[in-house]
Amino acid sequence: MTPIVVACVGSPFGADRLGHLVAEILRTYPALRALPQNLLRIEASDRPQLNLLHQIEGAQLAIIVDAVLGAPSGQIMHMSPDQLADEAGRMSSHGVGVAETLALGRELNLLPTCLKIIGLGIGAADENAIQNLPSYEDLENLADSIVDEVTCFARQLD
Amino acid sequence: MTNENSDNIITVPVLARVEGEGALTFRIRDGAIHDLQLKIFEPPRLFEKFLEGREHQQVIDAVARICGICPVAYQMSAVHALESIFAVTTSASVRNLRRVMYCGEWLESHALHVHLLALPDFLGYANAVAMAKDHPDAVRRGLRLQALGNKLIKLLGGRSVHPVGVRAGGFFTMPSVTEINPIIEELNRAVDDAQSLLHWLAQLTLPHDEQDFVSVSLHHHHEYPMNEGRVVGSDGLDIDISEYQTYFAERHVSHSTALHSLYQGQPYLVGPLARINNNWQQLHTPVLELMNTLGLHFPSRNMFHSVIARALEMYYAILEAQTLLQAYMKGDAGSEALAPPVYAKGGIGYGCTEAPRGILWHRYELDNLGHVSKATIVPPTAQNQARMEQDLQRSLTSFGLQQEDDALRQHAEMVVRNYDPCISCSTHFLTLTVARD
Repeated sequence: MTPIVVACVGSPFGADRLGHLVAEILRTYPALRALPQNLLRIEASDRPQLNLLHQIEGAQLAIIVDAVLGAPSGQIMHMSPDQLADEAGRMSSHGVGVAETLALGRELNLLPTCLKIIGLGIGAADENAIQNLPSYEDLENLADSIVDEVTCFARQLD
Repeated sequence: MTNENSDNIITVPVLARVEGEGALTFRIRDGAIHDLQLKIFEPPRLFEKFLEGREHQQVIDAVARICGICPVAYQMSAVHALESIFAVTTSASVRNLRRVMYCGEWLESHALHVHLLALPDFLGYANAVAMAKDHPDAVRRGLRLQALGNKLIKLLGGRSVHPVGVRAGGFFTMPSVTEINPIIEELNRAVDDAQSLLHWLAQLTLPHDEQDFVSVSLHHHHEYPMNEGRVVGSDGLDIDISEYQTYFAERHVSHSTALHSLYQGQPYLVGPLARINNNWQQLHTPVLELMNTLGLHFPSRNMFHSVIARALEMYYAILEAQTLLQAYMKGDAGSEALAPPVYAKGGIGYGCTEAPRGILWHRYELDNLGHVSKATIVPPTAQNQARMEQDLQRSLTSFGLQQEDDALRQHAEMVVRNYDPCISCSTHFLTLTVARD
């Protein structure tokens, strides 16, 4: 079991590729590369659905990174699982999002002790959305935020 | 209470716990159902047009994206159709490993459906999260089996979502001993999970609703069908897959973007219940023995037995994957060529394999360069559309139209979920005609 997991969620394409881009940026950070081997795992997955639970299972700290539709572009949001909208009633195999997955994980006691959700706003879903997507600087700010969380937690494990 | 002397319109605006999006509306007048429509809201998929002009590997990779739950089925139907045009013969190892990959897809799809979609219905919970409060071990079992299914797909496909390992003639890489060993250990442990699920399901009181329908599936002379076989029906139909369009026809309906399929002008059933009805004798002996012990009998004309059929297929998939992987390990694993050389050429080819939800039929016309000039894809959910509407008409009438609207709505949802419809992949254009003045 990897003690720290950063699970970046999203499609490799379009506005939802934020998760993949952030994962790529994180992998270049010297502060993370300097961590002991097998302390940190960075995942990037396209619609992991319930596989998200398997990705974070057993971790002591799990950080889930996802785009947030409707939030101002570039805004970084730190959330707890309880703050996500409860949409579990619409659960279907295809449509199992982060909120539903974590709701199920909470009921089954499968969630890590320390679970954080960091979202980055991508603006509203309209035809001009592409123009409002977060900038690379926004992504780096998000990555900085994640690195701070990870390195702080890693020091506590020492 | 409903006044039988006036119209009562029941509308389920969004069907919960089915794949994709769909809605149902019908009218009750004078104690009978009228104008029942299962509406599909998914925008028409353009995949058949997308594939035109593509070379064969692009087709294999692209069709996996039609459905996130059944990518293997799309790849298998496509690759078998293309190989038939290229006259490619696959090795016994490739054939068996493709079955292992399919076992993974059946396992992950059925496990999710049974534990997250169907069981909340039968146990009276609003959703899986609510059910998990009282039955955490059951839901955890579902997640374990789903994860194992994904591992089997990833073993051969590189990843479980939109796998990329399949190619004409075989795979891009063959699994190693170190990759296979832990999966065999998990399969061994999963046998208990599959058996306990069947024991549990056998105790449930399922609705009793017997109907007349023709079960259509593949049939293979010596194995439970997955990738190969003839198309058979419970009415005696027995045809080569190339003859499919002679007996089955698609038609547009105004209220749905999904085409309806008919067999000789009538609805028919595909899927786990149809497969079990036509092929139960070919399940592995331990599965048959457990069926006998639990008093599970097939063929069945009760659609609510679909959940039992899925659980039986999960048990079968675990045993089949065990057997095939162990045989692969005993053989000269890895020494076979990954795939024979493939020389693309023109022609017409057909592929028909058993997706988790039923037969998935592909037809490709390739030009002399081996590029697609025409593609036809008939998903199982589209084939079940007419049957679903027929079932709803009969089932709701049998349930009792005097029931309160909420009860009718819940029952209608249960009926539709029996089919585990994968609505997001059940639409495609039949013809496209552009007129310019």
